[in-house]
Amino acid sequence: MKLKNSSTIWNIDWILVFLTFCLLLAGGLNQASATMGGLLFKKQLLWFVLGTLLMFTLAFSNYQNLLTPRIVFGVYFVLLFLLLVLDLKHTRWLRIGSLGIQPSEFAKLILTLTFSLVLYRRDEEFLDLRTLGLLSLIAFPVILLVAVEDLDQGGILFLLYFSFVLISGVPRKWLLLVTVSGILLAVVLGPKIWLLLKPYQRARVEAFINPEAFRLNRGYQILQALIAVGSGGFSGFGFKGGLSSRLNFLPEKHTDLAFAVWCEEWGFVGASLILVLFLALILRILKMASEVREPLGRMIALGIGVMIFWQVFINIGGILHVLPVASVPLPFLSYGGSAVLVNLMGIGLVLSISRRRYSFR
Amino acid sequence: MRYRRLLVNPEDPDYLDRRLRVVSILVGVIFAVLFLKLFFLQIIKGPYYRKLALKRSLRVFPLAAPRGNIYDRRGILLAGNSPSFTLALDPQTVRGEQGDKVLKKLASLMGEPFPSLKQRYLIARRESRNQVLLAFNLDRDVVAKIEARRFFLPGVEILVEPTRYYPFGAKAFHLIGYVSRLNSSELKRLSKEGFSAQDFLGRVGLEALFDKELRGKKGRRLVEIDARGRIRQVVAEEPPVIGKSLILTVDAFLQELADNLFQDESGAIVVMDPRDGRLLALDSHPAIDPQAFIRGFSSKEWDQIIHDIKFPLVNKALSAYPPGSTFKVVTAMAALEKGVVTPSSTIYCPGYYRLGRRTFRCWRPWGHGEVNMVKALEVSCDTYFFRVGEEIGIDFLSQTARACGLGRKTGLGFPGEMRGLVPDRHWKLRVYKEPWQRGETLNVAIGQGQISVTPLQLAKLLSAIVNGGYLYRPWCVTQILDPYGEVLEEFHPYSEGRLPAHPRTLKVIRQGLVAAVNGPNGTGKAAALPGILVGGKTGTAQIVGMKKRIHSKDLPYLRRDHAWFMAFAPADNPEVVVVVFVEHGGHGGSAAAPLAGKFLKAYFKGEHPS
Repeated sequence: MKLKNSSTIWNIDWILVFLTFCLLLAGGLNQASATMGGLLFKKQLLWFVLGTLLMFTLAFSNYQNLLTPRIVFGVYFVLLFLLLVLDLKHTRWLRIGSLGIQPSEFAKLILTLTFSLVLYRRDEEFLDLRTLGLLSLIAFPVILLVAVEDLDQGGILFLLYFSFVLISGVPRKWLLLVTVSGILLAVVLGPKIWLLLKPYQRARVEAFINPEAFRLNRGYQILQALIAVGSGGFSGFGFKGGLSSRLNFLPEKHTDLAFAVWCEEWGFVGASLILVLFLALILRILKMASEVREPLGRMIALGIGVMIFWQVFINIGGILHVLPVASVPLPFLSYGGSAVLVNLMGIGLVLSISRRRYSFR
Repeated sequence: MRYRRLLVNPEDPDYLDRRLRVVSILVGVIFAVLFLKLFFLQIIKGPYYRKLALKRSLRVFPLAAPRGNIYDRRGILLAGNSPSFTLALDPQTVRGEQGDKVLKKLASLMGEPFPSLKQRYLIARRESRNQVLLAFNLDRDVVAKIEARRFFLPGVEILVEPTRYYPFGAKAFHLIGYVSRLNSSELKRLSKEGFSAQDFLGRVGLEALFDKELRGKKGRRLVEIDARGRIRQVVAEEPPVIGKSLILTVDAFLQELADNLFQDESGAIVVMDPRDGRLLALDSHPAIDPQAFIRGFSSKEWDQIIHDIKFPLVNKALSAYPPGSTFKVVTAMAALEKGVVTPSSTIYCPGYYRLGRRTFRCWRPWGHGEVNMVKALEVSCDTYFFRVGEEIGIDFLSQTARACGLGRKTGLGFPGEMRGLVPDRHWKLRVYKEPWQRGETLNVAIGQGQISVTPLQLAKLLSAIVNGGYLYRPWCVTQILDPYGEVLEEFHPYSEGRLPAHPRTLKVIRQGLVAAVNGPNGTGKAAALPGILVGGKTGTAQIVGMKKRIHSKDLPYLRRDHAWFMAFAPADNPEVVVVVFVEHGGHGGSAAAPLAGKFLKAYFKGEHPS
């Protein structure tokens, strides 16, 4: 293997940069249509610029100096504190002047980093109870505090936690036990849990199963999303041409359902392109994780790959009616400053890690 | 074990590498699922969803086509369109505090208390998606007030729609007809042809007969609406095509004149030009203002109309009644043609006629003495016609009546026109399963009993008698015009054939009719005019066969006789035929003849049509 100086900043993975910029371009275009080029579009562009700057700053910095346990856990506790304060105020938003920041978005990155710090030194095949306990102790306060105000975001955090547990190795016996008991529990307690669910939670599942029956209320969102996606056909209506978005049939068109706007306007061609871009991005990040030999770095890269994957899957899966609709933004395509910053910071860290590809541990 | 080797790089025992590969494969699989679903939605179900999307956001608004106009022969408007103003509010704009302000202003402009207006608005808003229609047929000054304050009334719009307008109102109701909206069963039947519930359909008279021509073609406006039902843009527009116009043979002044003859009576007047069968007026009284059908009736008003014993909805000019003595012209024709009598042969009238053991009374109990044909028509001697009727026989009499155009539709084409009835042996056998009685022939010969004719049939017959025998089909439309005034179709007189009578026969009948108006004992003297020779025949049709003679006025209305008078003038060169029918009016000579006289007097005085 050819040796290169790891300190050279030009060693970052330019393919990842390219994929990110492609997605940012698509996101900008989509916001220009979905927000009709209004104030929100300009704000989103501002976030893109800010995020890109942050991304390159992180890419060109040394993540090992930055991500010491002291700093990461310090930030973790600040996050915990902020979440607690916001929960008491019954809001998701931290207001700084006219800017709103969603700490729950940042929770994804911070949990990834703390998990990585806990796990990277281990090289046992299976997870021991002590480590599992530690992971849970870190994860659950954040998940619960987020879920109070934003159940869907809490769900994403739980999936992240769950992924890390699986990746760290769960003995097959456990896995089997948990799966079987889970199924049994679902069969036995399912109906009772169903009754315990809040009406809007039940409605979401009902709407997923049969959106036509609830087309005026609970099923409206998914039905309109399906019409938007499907009516795009092969080549779509073209930029700003989507009937569903232009005539406001599509709710949340610049946030949760931004991908539906894209599908409607650019058709199967454009939508496949986005799927390919996301797949390439995630696989590229996972490739970085496998190429880099530095244990903390590869753990972080893996975590960020998984973090982006879950957001993409939950959002697009919801819009394509593979999953129930959840209010989760699609990275780069949905409007939202915090999400843009978090995802670009994640990419920035992966880029910084990618510089280590050519060096051994 | 083997699959584990697959996942683990044997050179690198790092577990993370193995799991990274698993994760990558899982990610790939899930993306494949998403991709397949995307393919399914956009490519396979794409056309379905596109159709749904278009259906959801495109609306077609019909644009009403103004109906064609109807003009009289001089171009006077009999049916046209006038704009009607509808107050429409946009519920997206008129809401909340600002909406209340707008409603308050409107309330003061329309002179309605604000709470009631607001309540009506809230109720109407539930029923409508796009626009809330708050008031119809607005007064012009209210429209002007609202238009002047338009700037202060956001979301308020005045829609202008064409509505049928009838300048002559009830006076030409049965001729022109009326329009009204489709009822639910018609809608079911006609919705395939593009009709909708807001559309009007021509009902009776010319509006019905020429409905297709008058209707025009609805336009359409294709608009794109957003999720709140607001119109975003007009995608396409197909303007409505105005209906075709009719020019009539009818003279509006004569029509008005005819209708004005009736006061409380009910009846019909048909005015015809005998030279080619064109109608100059067709009136039935009483009638209803056709405008009222557009406004609609309350159930109480409607109840009153359909229970009115004067039947304002029935066109009496096209309904069949016993003709009474007016039928004697047919009997006279049959008698002369069959050679039963000659014009000069006389019959003695003692005031009755015996047939076997039955006695048939003449209307004049003490008789008319010796009467010939002309005299018999002048004095309307029943005995004379009993006698000739018996000799003619029902077969030839009914054959002659049919050849005179009786017992069948005249060919005018109006919906609801009746055939009338000419009884004969076949009919008797078919309906009553009994053979014809000789006595019945005598009744038919003087126009009583089962026989019935319409005023229009009599006008057609009298025209033929005075024009030399040509049975012209009655007609009332000369031209159909397109909206730019170009003639699309022209109508001409049509003769169905000739009366089965020699010109000499017709001359004798005409002499008898002139004598009936001008002779010393004429029954129709009330129709005589100074300076102009008028001919005519009275008729008094009994409702119930009576043993005793009771004066009609002492009978209840529905049992009183029908009064007829048919006239032509000037006798030497007839240019107008008038048939007057007064339902339950009593004697033809006293109830119907004066009306014909008044009409002819006015006709020849000032309203002489050129």
